[in-house]
Amino acid sequence: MDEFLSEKEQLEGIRQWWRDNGWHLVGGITLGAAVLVGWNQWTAYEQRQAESAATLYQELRAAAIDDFDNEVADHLERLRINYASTPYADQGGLLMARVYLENNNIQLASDELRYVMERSADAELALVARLRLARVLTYEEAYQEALALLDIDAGMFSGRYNEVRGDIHVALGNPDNARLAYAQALTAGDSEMIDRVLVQMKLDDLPAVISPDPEINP
Amino acid sequence: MLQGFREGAGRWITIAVLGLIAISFIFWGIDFTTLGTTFAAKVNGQEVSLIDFEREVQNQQSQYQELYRAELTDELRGELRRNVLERLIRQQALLDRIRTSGYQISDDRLTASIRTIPAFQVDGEFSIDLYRSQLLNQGLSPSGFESLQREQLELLELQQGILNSSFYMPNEFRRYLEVFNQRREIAYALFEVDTLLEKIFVNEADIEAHYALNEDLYLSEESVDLQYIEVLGSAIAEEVEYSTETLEAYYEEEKYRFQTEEQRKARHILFANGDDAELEIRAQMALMRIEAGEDFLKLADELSDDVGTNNQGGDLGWLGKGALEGPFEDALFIMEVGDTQGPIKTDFGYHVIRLDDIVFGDVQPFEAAKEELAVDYQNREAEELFYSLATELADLSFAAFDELETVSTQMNLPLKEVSNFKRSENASVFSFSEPVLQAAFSREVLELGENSALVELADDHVLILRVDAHYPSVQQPYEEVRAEIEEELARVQAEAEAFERVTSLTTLLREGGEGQVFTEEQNGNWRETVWVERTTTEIPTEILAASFRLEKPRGTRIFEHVAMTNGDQALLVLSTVEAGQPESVPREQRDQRLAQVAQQTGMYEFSGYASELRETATVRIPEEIFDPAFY
Repeated sequence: MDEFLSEKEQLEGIRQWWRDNGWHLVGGITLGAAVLVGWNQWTAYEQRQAESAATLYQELRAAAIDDFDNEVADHLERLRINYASTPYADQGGLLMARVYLENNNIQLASDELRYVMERSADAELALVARLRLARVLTYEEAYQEALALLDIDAGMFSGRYNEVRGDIHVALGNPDNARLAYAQALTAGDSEMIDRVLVQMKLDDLPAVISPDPEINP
Repeated sequence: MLQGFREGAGRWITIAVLGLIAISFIFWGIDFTTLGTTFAAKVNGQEVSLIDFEREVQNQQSQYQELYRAELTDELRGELRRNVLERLIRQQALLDRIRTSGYQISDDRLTASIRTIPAFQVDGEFSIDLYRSQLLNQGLSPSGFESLQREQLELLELQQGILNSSFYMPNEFRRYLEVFNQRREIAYALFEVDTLLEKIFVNEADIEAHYALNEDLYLSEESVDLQYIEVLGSAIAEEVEYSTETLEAYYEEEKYRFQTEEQRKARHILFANGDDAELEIRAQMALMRIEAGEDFLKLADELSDDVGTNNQGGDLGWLGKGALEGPFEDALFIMEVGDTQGPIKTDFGYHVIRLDDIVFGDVQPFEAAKEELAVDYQNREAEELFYSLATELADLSFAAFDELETVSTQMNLPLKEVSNFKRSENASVFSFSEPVLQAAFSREVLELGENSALVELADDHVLILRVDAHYPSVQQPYEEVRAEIEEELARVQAEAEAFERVTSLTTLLREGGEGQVFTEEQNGNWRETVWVERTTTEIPTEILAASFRLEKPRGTRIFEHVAMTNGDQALLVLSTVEAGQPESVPREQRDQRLAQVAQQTGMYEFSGYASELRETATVRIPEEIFDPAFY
């Protein structure tokens, strides 16, 4: 403010400024407040959703342990419809797959695993589902399909992926491919991801590569 | 820019910018801590706090020191810091996933889980009093602890989800049993070095030649004669004298230890949400309903704003003095059992309280506590005396510089001696020799002849030492080591002969010969065909391991040379491999095993999950974290 202006002029200046800018200021604050309120409500809504989903998942778990019936499948259906954006929908799918396997319904188990593998927002959980699906397919003797599923870059899961790949080659009667897969499983990075002792046993169980001619055998 | 705002050119921009500024202040404020390194790592933009990191490093370090009684080397320290940080990063990556995915533990489940933690329970019942004091001990606030606990539960939810849904397919389990319970049919010949040794003669010339070539292998070990003065705390304690008067004075000082505090078991209904006047009225009305005969426990459930207790009928558990705020406590400690009172105002809000039970305090009289007091008193005095003696010893030795006799006379402590003290003779002389060795063979003590610094063997055991004489390592004369060399050369020769026999036997067997006669002629042991399992114990471990590492024979037998760890040589013959028979395992055992491997598979999957999260996370670690100058 110019110090040579009279008090009245100064006051007039302030009024003028307010007339020019007042609405912008009020508008800005109102918008800020509206966004804030909206944000809070959104997070509160998300939290309520997650809590309800968690509760439903708990119920599913309890029901699955108790006894299998259609009610269990119904729980999962509700999780998928109402709480698709929560991780409980995926976890419910994985759990149902196990329940189906225990009740010898291989087809439905595969469906659940495939659903999680294809739709989960959690990329790592999808890798878990993929591995499980490949194992179920191997049981069904759909070997080529299982191998195709495993044929991706599985990152830190590659040890387990290779182990299952080895198992499939054994079933297919390809000991050389199996040997390669098991060896890769054993060399893959971290040792916590596979049962090294078991993989070594499977490797040692393969028939000899070397010629059966005793003269060449060292 | 402000000019632009005023001219209305960017009216909506103005609104938007001001709005954004408002939001950013409301949410984040101004964070001065981002100036300078306050974090140990950033994982997907989230900080691993420096304080948590350093605290964990500290814990691990003191655990290490406790275990090995030694300081960490710089290399180990760096390694430890890296491991700790790696673990925290993994944890943070998982927490980040839980937050973004939306795993959620409700307040009810959180409360329920805390109430079941035994550390917060008295006689199997949750005590809010104990809860608060335990947290206080750990330096945690209830809200801080609760959010940590919530994180842990949410992590568990993810982990359990993967574990509980894991399975093992029938074909996989069959294969597992087949390889695990596999049997292999083997035979083997073992040629022992000790047996062959008897017939071996080593030339004198060979022994001499070996000595001449390997002189530096035959050196005597360096040793020193040590002088030392020690102070031992346990010896001091017994000599501390006391009179009844000193004990009585000590009793007064320590009286709190011999008293148990009065404890009162209470319930409350809390009114906390609303303005004061309204709360007070609501509390009054609750009190009236109770006086009219309504059940306190039910009302707590219906009315109380304390989420920690309302499900439990408002139960606060046992409370001692000092556990709760003034007005609450004042009221509680003048009530009679069964009384209900209120409204009482504290910082939490308005309370209606009921007193359920009282355990009165108790004091143990002097006579009963006397013996315990005497021991404690001696220990306390001895501890002080020990520190002053240790300090005096260190000061005098430092001043005396390169001799300990005057120190011994001045302090009236014996000057002890050990002669021929070697690095390899660890256990014998000192209760804990690592620091003694370090001091005795340090440059100052060994080469410059100075008194050592204070050497700490235990919390109550220290000493100062000096080297009186030093016997460096020297060449050992031929006569002294001749026998040793002879034995060594003989063994090498015997091993070679044993190996030769293994080779001849292999040829013989390949040509269809019979193994037993040859082996026994050559002073070996022949073991006729036997079926082994992975768990068989009567076969030498090296041979058993080799049997199962060999690939399956196709039609013909497989021959394998096995070198035993003691130098003996063996020839292993593998003829047949037979898969395990799942049907031969008892049903119950089989089911148990299946559950086990299914669970294990889940664990490997979770471990893969966590590792993959860590690998794909964006991690930033400030350089200073591993810079030795920084820690």
